[in-house]
Amino acid sequence: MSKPASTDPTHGAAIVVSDEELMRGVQDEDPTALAVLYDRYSSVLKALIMRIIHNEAEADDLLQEIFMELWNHARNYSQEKGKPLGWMVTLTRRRSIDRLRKRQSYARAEERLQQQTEQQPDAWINNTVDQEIESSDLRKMLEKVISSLPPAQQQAIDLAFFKGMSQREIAAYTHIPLGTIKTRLELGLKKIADGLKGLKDEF
Amino acid sequence: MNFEEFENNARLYVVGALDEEEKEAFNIARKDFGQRAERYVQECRRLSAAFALSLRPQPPRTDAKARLMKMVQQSLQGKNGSRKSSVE
Repeated sequence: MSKPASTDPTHGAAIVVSDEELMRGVQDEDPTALAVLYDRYSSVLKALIMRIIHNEAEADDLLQEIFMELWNHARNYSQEKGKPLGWMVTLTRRRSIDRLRKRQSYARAEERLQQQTEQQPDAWINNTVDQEIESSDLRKMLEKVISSLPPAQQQAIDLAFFKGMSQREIAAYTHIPLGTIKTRLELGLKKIADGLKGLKDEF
Repeated sequence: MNFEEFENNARLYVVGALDEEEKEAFNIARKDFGQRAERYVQECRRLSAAFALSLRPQPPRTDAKARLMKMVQQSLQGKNGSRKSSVE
């Protein structure tokens, strides 16, 4: 992802501050560091929230709560936990799935998921092939890796990551044997992980 | 669990696909494998980031950043106020 440059006030030159430096800034209670992280990732994180809870107003509120949590609990982040984006995505996914579970009873969620699956059998692909929207090179590459998976593997990963289902829950939901679901997830994730190896320094 | 099985479970762990008992077994193995395991889990977190980055970005509503920064300023003022009163 191309990172917006910050301006060096002393020389007027454009400099790019790393995510790690920004996280250190947030840990030192520098609001500007949070503002730059927000500019850099709020659209990505909102897309993730929307993908999970499907409600724009709620997504905006949740995004704000997540950035406040980031601000208040930045000390919980350390470089041993990986890159800041991975940490932020993990936090965002958790909070979104918590929100989804709170909002809906299991039965209602199941009904919604059923409708969504019927309307969008390849939701992941549908979400990413909008030709009118310009993709960044990185996103195009990620799309390519993910969409190269067989639809059954994509669906299993989709239900785990975006719907918060465990392997057992996916098996029960799809009426497919647990062993088959495990194999689909294992193969799919291995393939994506291998595909990401070529993007070592991108994120 | 050998390390190859651990790697497999680490990928399932970061996407949230492990059941509770599988998670327990995974965490025991994670401790046993130590730093090597931590490094691998870190690497797997890129999977999560990749899924998020593969989605079409959705900008927040226009006033959202201003609202957030206002809340941040308020929290800073609150902290500074309580620090000041504890000094006094």
